[in-house]
Amino acid sequence: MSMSGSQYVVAPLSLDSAVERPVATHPQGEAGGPLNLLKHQHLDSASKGSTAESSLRTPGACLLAVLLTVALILISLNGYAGEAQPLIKDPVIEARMAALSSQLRCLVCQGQSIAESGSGFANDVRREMRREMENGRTDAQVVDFLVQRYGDFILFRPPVKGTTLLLWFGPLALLLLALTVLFMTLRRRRQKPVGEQLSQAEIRRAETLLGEVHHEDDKV
Amino acid sequence: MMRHWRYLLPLLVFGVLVVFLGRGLMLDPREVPSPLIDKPAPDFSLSQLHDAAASFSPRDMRGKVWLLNVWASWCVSCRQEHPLMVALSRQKIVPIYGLNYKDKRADALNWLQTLGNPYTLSVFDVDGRVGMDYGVYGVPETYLIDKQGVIRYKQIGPISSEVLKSKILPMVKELQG
Repeated sequence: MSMSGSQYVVAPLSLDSAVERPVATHPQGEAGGPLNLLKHQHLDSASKGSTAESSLRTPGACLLAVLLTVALILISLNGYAGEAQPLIKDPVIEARMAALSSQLRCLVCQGQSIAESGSGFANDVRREMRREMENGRTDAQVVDFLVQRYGDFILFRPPVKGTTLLLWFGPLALLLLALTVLFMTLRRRRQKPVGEQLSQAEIRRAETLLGEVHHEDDKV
Repeated sequence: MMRHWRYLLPLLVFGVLVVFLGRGLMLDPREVPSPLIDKPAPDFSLSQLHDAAASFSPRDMRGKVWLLNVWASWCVSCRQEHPLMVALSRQKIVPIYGLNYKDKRADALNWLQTLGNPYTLSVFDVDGRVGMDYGVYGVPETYLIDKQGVIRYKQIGPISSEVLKSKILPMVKELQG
């Protein structure tokens, strides 16, 4: 069922050789491209009375016909391989790849994960991940393999360690600090007596201040 | 007095924030710090660019300070960096070895012939497998490797003449010393 990918290479190559080889090995020594050959063939068959049989009489034309047939078969095989080639060789590895590669950052296009990116870098990383997995490495070992080479930056989720403590727990610490300040402020505010009586001195001071304002208003 | 200080607190917090954000803006997000700094250079054995039958390994360089420059003929920034590498190689301060990365042999050879070859030799990493061991994710990248085979510095992107003068050459001198 699984056709090797190399057929993609084989078919076009054999097509080339099918077109060019008869020209080179043509017994009449006709140089030039395939068009020349066809012209020659046509003239040939016209002079001898044109039947299908006569057009295949020269060895060069026979060779061309055979090679073209082979090339056409190979092309059709190639198409068949393209359609039928399973994208997923090992469903388990592909599932692991999908899960793991979406957690890894593409270093070239940093907003994208290794799973999303179509960059050459992401392709290489996926290829190596697949190879490691096929060699029986666990997910953790594959991640280690990449971190050793590219550092923690390749992980979308940074590991908890000394240098990342602030990153992981900073927001929580800020929240706790804010909550503490809030509670302390609220408690202080509650402790403050509401509707406190003003002392005589304060009343007098307030009146003077108000009086000044009125006085200035009068002036204007 | 205490009361006035309280009103300055938001400004203080804002100041700290500005410093952090400003620092963040100055950093180049493309420069991912390499975990390989001060670690032994990964070993490999690759065929040489000019002679497929001959191979090269970083082990051959023990006892020497050298530069490993990752390049490719398809890489535009390499072209930009190239004159500097050629000039550096003429000065014969430090040998430059090339890691030809995911390239075609003919293209690479042609590139060197046209633009000049600053490399003592280049190795041919056709599928980028060795590049991956070195954490290469863009080209060009350059590694400074010391006598013990330890990576001491990694330049991501083309080397500028400032970086060469202010960072790489002083380090080379110190390591050679």
